[in-house]
Amino acid sequence: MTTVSIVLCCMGLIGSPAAGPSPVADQRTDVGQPADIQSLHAALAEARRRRQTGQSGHGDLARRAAWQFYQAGHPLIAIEVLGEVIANPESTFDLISALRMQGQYLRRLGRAAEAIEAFERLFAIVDQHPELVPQYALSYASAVEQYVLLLDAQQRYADAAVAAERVLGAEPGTFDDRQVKSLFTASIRALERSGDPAGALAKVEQLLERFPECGRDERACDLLALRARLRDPSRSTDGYIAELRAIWADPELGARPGIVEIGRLIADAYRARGLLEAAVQQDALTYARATALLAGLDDADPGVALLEESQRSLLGEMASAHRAGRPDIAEFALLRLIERAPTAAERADLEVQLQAVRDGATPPPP
Amino acid sequence: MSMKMCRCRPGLSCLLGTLLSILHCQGASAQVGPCVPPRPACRDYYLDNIDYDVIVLETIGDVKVTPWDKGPWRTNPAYDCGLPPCGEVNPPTDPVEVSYRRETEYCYSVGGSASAAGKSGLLMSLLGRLDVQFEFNGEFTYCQRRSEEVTWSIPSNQCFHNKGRLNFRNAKVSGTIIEAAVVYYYVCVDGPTDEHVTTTCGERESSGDADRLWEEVFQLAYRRPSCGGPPPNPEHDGVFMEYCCRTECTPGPPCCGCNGGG
Repeated sequence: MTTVSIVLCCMGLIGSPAAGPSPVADQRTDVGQPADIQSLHAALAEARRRRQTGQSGHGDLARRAAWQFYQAGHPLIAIEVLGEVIANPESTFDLISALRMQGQYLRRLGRAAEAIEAFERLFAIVDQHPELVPQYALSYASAVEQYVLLLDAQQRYADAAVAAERVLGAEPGTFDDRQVKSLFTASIRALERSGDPAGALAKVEQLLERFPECGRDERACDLLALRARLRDPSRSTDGYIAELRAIWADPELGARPGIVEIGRLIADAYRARGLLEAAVQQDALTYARATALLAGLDDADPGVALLEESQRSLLGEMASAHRAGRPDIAEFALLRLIERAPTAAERADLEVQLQAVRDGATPPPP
Repeated sequence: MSMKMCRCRPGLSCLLGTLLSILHCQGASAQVGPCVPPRPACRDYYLDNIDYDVIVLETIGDVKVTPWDKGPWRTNPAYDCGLPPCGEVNPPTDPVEVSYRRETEYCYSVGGSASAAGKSGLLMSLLGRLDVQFEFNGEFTYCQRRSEEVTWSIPSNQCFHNKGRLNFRNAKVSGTIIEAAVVYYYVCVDGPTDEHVTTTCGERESSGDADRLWEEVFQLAYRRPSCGGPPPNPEHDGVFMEYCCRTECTPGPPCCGCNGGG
């Protein structure tokens, strides 16, 4: 074996923060006054007193205390308090709110099975009282989204897609648009991974029809590339390339960092069809586009690292462009790689390669 | 807020709603200090219910595996190019060592105004998507360094310039969270039918991304098939071990090793 490959994926499951420092340790409530622990215990005692004496408001007080215990770095107390509310809810809303919060906090602690159980209890109640959905749409969609994320993490993609329909299947206007868009994204991914590209494509079309701005915003390049891929899983037909080229030529989308990925995909499609010269020419164009985009960004912009990484990778590809009949592109790339070479030995090797390109010493084809 | 803002038609739900309104509008909440969502635009309404710590959305993008970042080919020159007397072979030179250029195992960064709990939750989602074992250390921007540097060797060869390179690619994922500290569910009662209106306060957003080393491959160039090598590997981008005499292996007089083949 002359190639050694180390696949570093699938190293393990996400760790439970409960084993280490709490993810919310040392935090204070982020809205309003800092919550001191004594006042929280006092509020909790008041909630319990009201519950025991049959006074109203105990569920609300307890849920609020649970939230603030969580924010103050005591997730286990929060979950326990919510358990009390669930055992003795003051109202149906009290119950579904406490189940959502409990599912949320259990999920954050990595206790996925218990979180799923809490959300499923919530859904069972809402299914018996569908009139609650429009009334408490924001909280309900929050539960659905977290449930979908849990199922997705467990690779239960078909179940995740079904769960997302709780929101996506509702009348437009029922839910917050942001939640709907987010669940469209989750549903598309779940359908694709569950082996239903036609279903995923249909969801992309629904998303674009309902929210046309998703085809123009900062994530549009990703979404449109996904649509092209779902239409042509071979990623090499004329139609696929034409669709990508249309994105590439769009002046508005062309100003977004995501356009660099579109350029890469076009080059990949050319390579898949054996059009090597067209591929390296596209790489050069993509490199130029990345350079132009970088010039317009502040150093602190998160897109900078992405574009620089793309540039480096493109140069590595372009360095062998002479084998595709474009020594000019290979020379351009090698000169820039020499500038970036971290060691003298690497630089020397690159200079040898550069000289070979200049000499036209392309080895004969095998 | 005052009672005057919370007008409604008489009834049990109105009474309960008004009680909640009083509780939250007039001081009961002040002891722990949550914010107060705005009232609805309608004239007559009541506060139906209150929810806390609602994750309005948490969007985790697709994991993207970046294109290969191909390192430059490094060469270990043939150690005894030329035709020594048969039976005599000079000792091989040391292998060329290609050290690891990539130092980070995984990195993440989450910024924005969400609560620390919200940010750490987003981090868990991001790193979970990348299958990274993760123990939160209180930092929202962090890179886990590799514990040891990895070095690959390009062995020396008598008649061929040997070549090797290290390629790697990363996996990346980004996400966004929007959370609302307090959500008020109102019912507007001044129309012919009741209308549900939701208002929030303490709505804050954070975005972040994480990446990790996904795969690394050390490639050693093959001999050309005409020099006894295996079928070309397209992932080598057309690079082969070079015969040091700059001639084809066969036919012709040998120039390296007893039989010219090395």
